[in-house]
Amino acid sequence: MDKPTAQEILLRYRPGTSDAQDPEVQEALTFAAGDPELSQWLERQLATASMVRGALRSIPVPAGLQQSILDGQRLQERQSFKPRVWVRLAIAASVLLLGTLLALQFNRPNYSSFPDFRDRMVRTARRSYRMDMLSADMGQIRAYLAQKKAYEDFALPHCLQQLPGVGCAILRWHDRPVSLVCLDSPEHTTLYLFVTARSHLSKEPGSTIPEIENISSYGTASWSDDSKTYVLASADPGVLKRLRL
Amino acid sequence: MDTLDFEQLVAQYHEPLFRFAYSLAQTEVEARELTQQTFYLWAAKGHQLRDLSKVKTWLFTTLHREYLGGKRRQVRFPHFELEEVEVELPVQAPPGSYRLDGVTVREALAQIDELYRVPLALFYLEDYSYNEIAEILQVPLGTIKSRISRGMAMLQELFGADRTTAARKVANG
Repeated sequence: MDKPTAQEILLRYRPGTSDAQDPEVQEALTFAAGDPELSQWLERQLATASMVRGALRSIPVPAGLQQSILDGQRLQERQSFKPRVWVRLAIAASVLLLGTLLALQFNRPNYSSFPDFRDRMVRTARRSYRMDMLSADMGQIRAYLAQKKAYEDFALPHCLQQLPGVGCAILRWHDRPVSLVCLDSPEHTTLYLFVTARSHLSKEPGSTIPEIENISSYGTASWSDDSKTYVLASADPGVLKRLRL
Repeated sequence: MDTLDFEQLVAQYHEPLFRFAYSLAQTEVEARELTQQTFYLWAAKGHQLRDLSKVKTWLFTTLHREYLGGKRRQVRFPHFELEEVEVELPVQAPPGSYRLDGVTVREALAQIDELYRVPLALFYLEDYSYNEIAEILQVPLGTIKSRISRGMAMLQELFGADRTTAARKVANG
């Protein structure tokens, strides 16, 4: 064994592990023991390795990560189901049909009317969908949406400002972005807040006073501010009333 | 796997997985996403794993695949696969008494090409064997060994440069 070979092997030597049982490593260690210069080099190398190990193992783990993983999994379990093959085929056929209808609908002049938008968003809340990010922290949710260039500068009514988040997703509506922010109501019912640009819609709510309406058994509250239109939906229509929007 | 098992799994592995994810993505937001997504994939597909002693390897492999998949979706770039890398050993290495804090070491790690950083992270974070790292990264054993050696050599070079800078600062008062 020559010196460069010994160094190459000892660059990946981890004392206290099974590395020392490797004949190749044993030979390199014996070689180093007989070479004072290489011994000194090995000492420095082990110090460097120790620093790397310590640095990696001290990467701070965010507080609450464990809980947000568990919360997210429970949410997905509630919203997911495992259909049989024939059901999957029926869903695939329905999706194809829906896609065709949507493609036809796309050319209609009123495709971006607010009622259509609200109906579609409620359907999104009703079916299984995937959250892009899970967090109870509204700051983190806004930061994530900003990073993904989605609407994050939305203004929440006072009664929603105190609620913890659940997570968020970025949706598309006629190729335009929609931010979906999920909140946990005081009764632990998920609230779905859809935010999009007001300019993308016609017949949108004209004021900041929420308009309450039930859509497909879901309660919805809709309002607009200067630049954005909001739809808040809940599976329990009573929750929206009790929130006193 | 029932809820209790899932909770135990999360409790046991969310920290090392997050640290591995952070060493890949270098941002907390992405590392969180990768860690969460890995556990959700386990919840959906973990039952397909027959050998439960492989759970940890499965989690690390899946996280790495998710990371690579995310990168492919974000940017298309040429992929360089270096089969064997000639190890260029540093002439000077920092003395044993010279210590760097964790943040500085992680910054140095971040400067190293991902090709070398990822096996190094698995090597020191979890004391994985070469075989296990090769299985997780789907790379030949010899390549793993050379990448770890090369990565360590690069780090020593970086630490040597840092030491010189620090010494200059002291000299300049």
